[in-house]
Amino acid sequence: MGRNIAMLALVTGSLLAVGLAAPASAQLVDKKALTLAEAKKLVAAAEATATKGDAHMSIAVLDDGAHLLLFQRMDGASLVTGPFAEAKAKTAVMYKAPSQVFGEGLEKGRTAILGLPDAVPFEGGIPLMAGGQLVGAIGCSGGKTPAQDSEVCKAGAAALGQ
Amino acid sequence: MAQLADKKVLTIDAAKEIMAAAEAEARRNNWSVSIAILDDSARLVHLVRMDGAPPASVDVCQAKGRSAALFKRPTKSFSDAVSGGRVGVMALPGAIPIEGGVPLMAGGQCVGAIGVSGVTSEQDGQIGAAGAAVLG
Repeated sequence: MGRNIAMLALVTGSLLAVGLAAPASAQLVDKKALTLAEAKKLVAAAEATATKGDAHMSIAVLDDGAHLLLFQRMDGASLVTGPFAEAKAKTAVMYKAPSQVFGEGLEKGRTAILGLPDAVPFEGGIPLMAGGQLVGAIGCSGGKTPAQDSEVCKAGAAALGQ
Repeated sequence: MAQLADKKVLTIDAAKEIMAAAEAEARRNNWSVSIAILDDSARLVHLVRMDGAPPASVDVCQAKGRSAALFKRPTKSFSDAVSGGRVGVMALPGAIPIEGGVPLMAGGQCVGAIGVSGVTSEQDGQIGAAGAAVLG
């Protein structure tokens, strides 16, 4: 019994020593992150473009973890535009690519795209890049044409860093 | 003759005003939260996540708002019920027994709800009430 306790103390002591001896310099890097203020600029620019084009749309801005940062559904936009805008933006974050590439792939007959997780094969989801790094994405839905979804998205993305 | 009723509907402009008031209340207290504004069908109209708010608050604020919109009552009423021993309310579908979801009332009608998450439930409720107060 006494020997077991002595062993335990020894093992615990060694573990503590190992823990204390571990190098303190963690290998972390810095990266840019979206702020709410920046997201508001993007959505305002996108919304203005949608209004100018007489479209009733939903606009979503997600962070680099594909979590919602800012969302707006304009008056008259159909309900499905909400989840659809968010889903397109999620595609853009997850794949670090515009959702449009999946739509184009499908048109070329690459039907396997339909089996990819979180790959919405419609244009209107654009990654937001800052200094070569992904900081999030903007997604739009509700335009009169798919091209209008892209146009509104691009107007939002163009406001990044402005 | 169609038997239709008139109802008040939340607009994005009204949602923005409500959001601004709620966000100002949070900022005044130095709180970082997520705030969701939903329509009378509990569909998302406007959502803001303030810098520093935990990612989980995005889902939680929407859940609180959904509960308040669909039951037309604050989520605090469910938390009070649970505290009072009526744990049965937790079996109600979509009922969130945590303060922070407040219905948006206009002229006696529920036009939607505001849901807040990120600080303590009482503080979440305080922010929600500041937003809901915009509609009087």
